[in-house]
Amino acid sequence: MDENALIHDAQNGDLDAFNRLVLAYQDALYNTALRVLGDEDQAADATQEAFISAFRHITSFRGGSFKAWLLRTVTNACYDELRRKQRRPTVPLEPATEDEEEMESPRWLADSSMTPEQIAEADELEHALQHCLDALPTDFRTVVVLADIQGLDYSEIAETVRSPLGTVKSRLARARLRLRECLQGFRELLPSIFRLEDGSHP
Amino acid sequence: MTQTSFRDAKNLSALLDQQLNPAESARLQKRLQTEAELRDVYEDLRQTRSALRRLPQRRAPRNFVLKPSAARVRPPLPRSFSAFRWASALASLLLFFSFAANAALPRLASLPANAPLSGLGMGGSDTQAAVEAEPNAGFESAPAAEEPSLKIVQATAAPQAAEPALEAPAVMPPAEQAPPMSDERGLPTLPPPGRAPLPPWTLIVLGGVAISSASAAFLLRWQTDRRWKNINIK
Repeated sequence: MDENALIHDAQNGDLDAFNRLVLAYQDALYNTALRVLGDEDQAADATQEAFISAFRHITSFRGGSFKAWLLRTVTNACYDELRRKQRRPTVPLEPATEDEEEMESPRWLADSSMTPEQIAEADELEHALQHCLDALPTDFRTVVVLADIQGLDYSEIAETVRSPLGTVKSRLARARLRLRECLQGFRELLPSIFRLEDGSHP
Repeated sequence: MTQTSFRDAKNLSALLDQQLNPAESARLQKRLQTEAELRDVYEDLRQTRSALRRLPQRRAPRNFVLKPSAARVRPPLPRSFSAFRWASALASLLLFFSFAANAALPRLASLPANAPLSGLGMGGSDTQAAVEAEPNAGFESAPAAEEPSLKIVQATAAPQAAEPALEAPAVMPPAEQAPPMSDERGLPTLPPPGRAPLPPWTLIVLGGVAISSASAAFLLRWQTDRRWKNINIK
């Protein structure tokens, strides 16, 4: 896939070319929205909004990282969603049961090679991490999601969240420290997260 | 955590992402070898990042491909479209003001000579006219016995008044050759009655720019819409 050619065609109104870009990036955008919003339906809505907005404003894309540009649109959509949520807080029609039955949904389709034990472990890890992510201020959460989940570098994050590099650096450090503090509470539940890979120490 | 230790934590976080410059990186790594507390913070940050990286990437629950009807999106227009649109709007505006100027100014000029200037409050001509009118008013209100002397004065003044009139063509250029832009007091004057201040070619050029820019913008829109339909019919 020649991304630049697709972007060029999309800028000239080729919806088919744009939809090929959608297919390439929809997982990244959806995952970002999911981690920022912590809700699957809202994440899907934000992702759809982001792609519509991206297509409408694609002529304003002037080069650089297209992924970072798309992530900016989804970040903005997430902020809009959060603002809406603050204005109109809603109560779910079907509250979560005590045994967390909603977790039985086939959400691990992304990696079908996982064993049931690994799935259960990852499930717990995901819950713990999402809980800790939700406890972060939105700006911190966005930065840490972009850095550690989407793998963007600092300059791409600065471009995405439209903040100076120093602010990104500072928010990321604070977010990681707070997450670490929060995850301490899950130490007994999630011993596996502390069995981390070795060799990255300088 | 103190402010200083947060600065260290920030640098450790950047070191983890290899975002420190070589000098800072070397300095911090040297400190890591000797300071146990710093090493703990570094390890905490590393473990947190590893945990986040282990989060599975979810597959999107559905395809987010756009359908023009469902998304109600319009095709993005080329950048030149807005340039043509602005050019057309600007030319139309200028054309309007040019027409207005050409229509209004000759009419103003055809009003009685002193009316526009006094109407516009230019140069205090009212007071000057009043001062100039006073001698005549004095003659009119003078008693009848003084009329003969007045006639003598008028008779002697007539040749003097005629002299400048005879010399005038030699000194002053004809009005048709060089219309005056201001009077002897330096005040702006209106164009001669029936004469438009802007030449017709200005209006023609502005009209041409407005029409051609609007046509170009319309064509671009039409072409984009047609391409859009072709793409989505495929």
